[in-house]
Amino acid sequence: MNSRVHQAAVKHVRLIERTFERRHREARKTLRKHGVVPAFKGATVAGLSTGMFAGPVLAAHVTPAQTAAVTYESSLQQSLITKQAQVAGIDPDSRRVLAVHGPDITLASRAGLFQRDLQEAVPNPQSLLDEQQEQAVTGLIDQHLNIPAKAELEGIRLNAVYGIIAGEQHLPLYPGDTLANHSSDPTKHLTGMVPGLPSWGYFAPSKAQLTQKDIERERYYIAAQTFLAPGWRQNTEKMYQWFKYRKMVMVNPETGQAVVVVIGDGGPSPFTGRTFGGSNEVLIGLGLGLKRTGPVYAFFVDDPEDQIPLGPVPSTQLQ
Amino acid sequence: MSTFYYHLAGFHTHDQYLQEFELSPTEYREVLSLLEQAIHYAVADLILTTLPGEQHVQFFREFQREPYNLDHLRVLRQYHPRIDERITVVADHARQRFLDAIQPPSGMV
Repeated sequence: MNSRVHQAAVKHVRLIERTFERRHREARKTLRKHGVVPAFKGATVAGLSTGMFAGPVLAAHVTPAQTAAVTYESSLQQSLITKQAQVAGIDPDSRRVLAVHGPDITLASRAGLFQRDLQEAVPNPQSLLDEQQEQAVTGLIDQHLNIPAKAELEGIRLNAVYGIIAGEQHLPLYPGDTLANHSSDPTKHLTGMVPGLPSWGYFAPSKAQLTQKDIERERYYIAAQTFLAPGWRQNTEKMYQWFKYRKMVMVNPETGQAVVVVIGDGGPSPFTGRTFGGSNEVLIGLGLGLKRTGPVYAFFVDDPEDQIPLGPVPSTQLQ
Repeated sequence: MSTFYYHLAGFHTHDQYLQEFELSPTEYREVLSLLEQAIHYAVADLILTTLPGEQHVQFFREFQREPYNLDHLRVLRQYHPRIDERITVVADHARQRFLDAIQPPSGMV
């Protein structure tokens, strides 16, 4: 790596480093005396020693838990990271880069900014937000993800816009469907398939009539407590139809990762303590592939022309 | 995942600045990392000159523990009510100096 640009960048930061250390020699001594100087050395950029403040700052990108999480990524999560790291132009085998920056250095800052804005807008979200908070969060989703999100659409809302999501099983796409039909990758069979029918029945009446859209819907489905939605008892039939495959955006407020999904099933039961369920693909897109559970925001997507594709929102991936 | 000033320092804009340079993926991430480091130094310099000396240890100890915690900003605001703006300004300045430093010399295509 000897390009003129890289050499100029190294030279420039070396100069900054020297100037900084000259200016703050006393502070450096004091901090070191109190053991605040970090022992972190792994963030060294090629050809450049890490300064005393670059250390803590760069180290801030990764916690021991995150490092461990990278190390113990499941094959599913790892393959996703590898694929996305390649898209981002990162050598997927570079543990140093992954450990220092998280799996994505070019996109992480965007997701981080989104996450930070969400945290500032609603520091302690509850299952129901007040109107101002709803507008703040949906405004941020619109602003950062370019997705028109609504807590209430056409006069209908769910019982919660925030709650705990947990992993669900695959849903049968058509009569006679088996796990093998969902993927040739056996790691994607680990979650199993629900024994009965989902709330809206099969996605297609037969394998021959199955469409790509059906497959996408099952891949990125969530379960929502539609039966607890305001007005459900009075308008059950209408709302049952309205919720069927209703497009939503789910956001992990702890990471800023987002996935566009459809409501593919009713549930989970209130006694579980959870508010939403999601397919394995949804959880991975939300950065919950390992934990299998975590907090999420859930808003309807106002997309009458069906222009917004299902799946992870690219600008919020990876990790 | 990030620092308490991430949203103020414009880290999310770096892609657009670096895309004009012809860099391999490896060079790109190194140069990006160097740019971020330049900004971290600038912000660290601002923090050290804003906080009284006797606050340095406590602040950086807390910062090391929870680098993302926005309470750090609240602490800094006690000593400089417009610290948010100052962080943005020094970060912009550091970024511009970095970009100037890596630009080809005039006359060079």
